[in-house]
Amino acid sequence: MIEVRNLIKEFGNFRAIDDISFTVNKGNILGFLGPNGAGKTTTMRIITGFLNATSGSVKVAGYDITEHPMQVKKKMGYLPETPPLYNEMLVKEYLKYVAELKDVNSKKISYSVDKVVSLCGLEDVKNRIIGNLSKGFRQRTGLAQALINDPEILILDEPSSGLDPKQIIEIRNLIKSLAGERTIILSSHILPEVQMTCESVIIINKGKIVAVDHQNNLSKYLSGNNSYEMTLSKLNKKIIGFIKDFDGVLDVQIIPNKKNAISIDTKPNKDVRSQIVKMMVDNDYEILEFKNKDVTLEDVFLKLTTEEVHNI
Amino acid sequence: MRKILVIARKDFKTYFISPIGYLFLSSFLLIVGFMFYQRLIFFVRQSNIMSQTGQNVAVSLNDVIIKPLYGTINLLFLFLVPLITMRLIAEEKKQKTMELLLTSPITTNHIILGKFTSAMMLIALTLVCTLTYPIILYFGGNPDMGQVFTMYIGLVLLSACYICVGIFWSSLTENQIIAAVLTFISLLFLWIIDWAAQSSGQLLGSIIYYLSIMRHFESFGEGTISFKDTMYFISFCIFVLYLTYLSIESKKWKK
Repeated sequence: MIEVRNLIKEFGNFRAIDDISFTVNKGNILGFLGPNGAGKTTTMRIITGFLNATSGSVKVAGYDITEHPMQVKKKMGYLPETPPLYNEMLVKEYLKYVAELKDVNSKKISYSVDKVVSLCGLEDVKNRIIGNLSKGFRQRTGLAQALINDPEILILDEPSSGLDPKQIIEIRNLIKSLAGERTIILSSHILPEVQMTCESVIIINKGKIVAVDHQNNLSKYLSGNNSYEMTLSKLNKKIIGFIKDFDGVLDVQIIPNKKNAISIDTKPNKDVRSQIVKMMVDNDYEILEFKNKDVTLEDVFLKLTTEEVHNI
Repeated sequence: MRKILVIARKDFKTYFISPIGYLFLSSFLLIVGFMFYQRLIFFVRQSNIMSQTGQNVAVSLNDVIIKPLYGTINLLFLFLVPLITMRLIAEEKKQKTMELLLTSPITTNHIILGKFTSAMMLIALTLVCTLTYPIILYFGGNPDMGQVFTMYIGLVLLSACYICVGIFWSSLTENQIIAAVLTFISLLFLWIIDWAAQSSGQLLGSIIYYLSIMRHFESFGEGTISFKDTMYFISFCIFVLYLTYLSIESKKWKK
């Protein structure tokens, strides 16, 4: 459905996107994951035709975006980083205007507006001025705008930014429910979000693809990383040495900034957690907390870039 | 065509959501009304003097009232058109709504012509309001309505040029004030450019003379519709709108 080939975008001397290629199949949700400034927004802007690439091609549903922009844009819904809202308009009025811009059949306009209003939970604010809306409602109005022409392809740039936790869950569920017939690309710098909503993930950093994950292995990879965090009532060298000598443990390190906490790396394919706990209890060491180590986006980057494993 | 009207209608409405449309109309009509009243008083006094002293020289309604009146309208457009064009594209950029327009199934030409049409609609509305004055004169006297008609044609063409210049500057900046100032300066320059013609050489002088926007308006004031001058205005608009097109398209290539 979406085919990106050798995409390069330069701003002056700065290469924002450096030779990116990927494809998204019909009905898939693709997540773009990367820190701020990684090139997510630029890639999306090129796919939507807002920017032209320096070189490379983007094909959407068989149409090249630079050669047949009208055909592509008709099929697309796009929520930019900043929702494109007219502050002086009413929500309803704005959605009607976007529907007209996007070639929605004039008989269906009021039906389409009502549909996206209820889909995005905008009933209470539909007669309010956009300039007076809270960040969350602005974001939802932006999403409603992207959905108004019932697009086959949805491009969402950080759809959950600025929302509160409850709204984030709602938006995620909404995006999931939209999938199926639609092809969706969404970007995020929040790891769990992409894990939860996307079927496949592209991790991008400094304009390059760091990793492509097709079978949703990312979460398995992340949880099965054999790294644990343990907090004890007291900590000394003897205890660290004791754990280090344990069969199956590779490394033990003190976690800075946390009181009496250590990180334990174990050999893969061998779960030694229960034995460690048993030995600790038998030796009268008090364990306050024992858990899988939190994996942050930074850890993933570090792992991916240092291990030279490009296909997880 | 439908998409041009969609954009034009939305932007025309926006003039009257914010105070700018009302401000434009009211200040314009206030000054034109004042001017009309002054010229009318002057005319009445002049004809009274004429009849008292027994002079039998005809005083033309067109020369004493209508021509100065349309000169005033022209001058007001010079000052006020930058105010109605400054927002058109600069605000889309600032509110990031340009991203919506450029990723919607419409072309850059639709956007530019839509913006142009919305400003023209506002100008047309103000010009319709000024029709009161020739109508008053028509019922009270015997003005040359033909000349009035050609003056309106001239004003429409002239204001179209002003709007195009305004849209062009608006497409180059996010800042409305900068857009307005640059529009005003360039329009003023087009007004006074023929001063330079007198002090320039033969060839350069005639080129500058041809570029001067006011020279081309004169024939309409004389009650004629000149093909040459009409073509000047139309090609002027097309040229400036093309520059606007280039300015918007070039943004796709660099940041």
